[in-house]
Amino acid sequence: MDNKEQTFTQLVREHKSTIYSVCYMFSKDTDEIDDLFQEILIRLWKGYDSFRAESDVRTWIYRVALNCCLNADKKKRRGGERVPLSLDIDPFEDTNDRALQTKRLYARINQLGLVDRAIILLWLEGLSYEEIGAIMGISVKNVSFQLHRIKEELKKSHL
Amino acid sequence: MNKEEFNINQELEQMRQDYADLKERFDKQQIVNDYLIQKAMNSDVRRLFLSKRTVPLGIAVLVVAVILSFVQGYEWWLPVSLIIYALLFFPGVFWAYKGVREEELYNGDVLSTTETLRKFKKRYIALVTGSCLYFFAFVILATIYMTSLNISTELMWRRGIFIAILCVGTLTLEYVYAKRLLKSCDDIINRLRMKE
Repeated sequence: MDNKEQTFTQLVREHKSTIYSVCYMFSKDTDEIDDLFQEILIRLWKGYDSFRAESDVRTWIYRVALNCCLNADKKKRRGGERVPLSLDIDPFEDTNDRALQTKRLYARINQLGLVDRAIILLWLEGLSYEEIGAIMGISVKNVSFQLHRIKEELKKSHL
Repeated sequence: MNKEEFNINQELEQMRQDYADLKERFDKQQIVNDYLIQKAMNSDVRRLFLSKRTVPLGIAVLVVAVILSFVQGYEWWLPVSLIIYALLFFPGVFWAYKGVREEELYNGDVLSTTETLRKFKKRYIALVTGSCLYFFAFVILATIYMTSLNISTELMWRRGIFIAILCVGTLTLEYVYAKRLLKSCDDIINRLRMKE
């Protein structure tokens, strides 16, 4: 493995839970997560050279992951072998207390449209408005407006 | 702060807490293995429309079809129609892909990436519609021509109709699917541009 591959492997290991969380919130089952995760890794690797000229790694990973989830052509499933991820848990099937808590969060987020889901996910991650704007391609003012609207929507569904 | 606002803020804080717990659970998992990473490094990105091999393969099939047409002594308009189609279609593919670098496409922000994809899909729909109309016109004209010369047989008619239905049906499905993707791009762009 050369230096570039090692650095990339390290980067993926550091951000695996971020990528997985995004895939989880945009998928219906574990197979779909596996497909999306694999697609995101390929996109990250192919775009790795052009990224290195940029600054923030987290912003870049979110951009690639969300672009994959929002714009993925789900008709075209990746041909060949599907590589299963290494997990002892199944966020869709587990039934213990923590899993129920996870499912409750999943249900709340999944009632939103795709764009709203992406924005609230970034907000839940604790990203600043500037960072959310840089990932989504919108102004800080617009981020604030979008978040206000999403919170109103969540409020309505809560009533 | 009224009671309703207090409740939603409490709910959002709860969601944040749940999300932090979720990430903590995922952090404890291995998730990625060496094989997966290695496989990702050796794979190609999913092509938006045609794979890298399709254009050279299409040209090769076309050349063989044209040569066969002459060798078998088919009517002149059959190879000519194929050549005209190729002369229109292959430059059309390059036009559809203009400005789209698939490897780096998803590196951009969500809005600009979706706008690029929308532009591509619009061109793609134009290409598919053009192909559909071309095939349709070809089948109609071929039928009229053969009928006027009294060289059409019942078997030829059946084959012609079958090919026409197959081509137009396939292209129509592609068209409907591309329209659906285009609508999803429009939805994303409209949502993000709400306040811009």
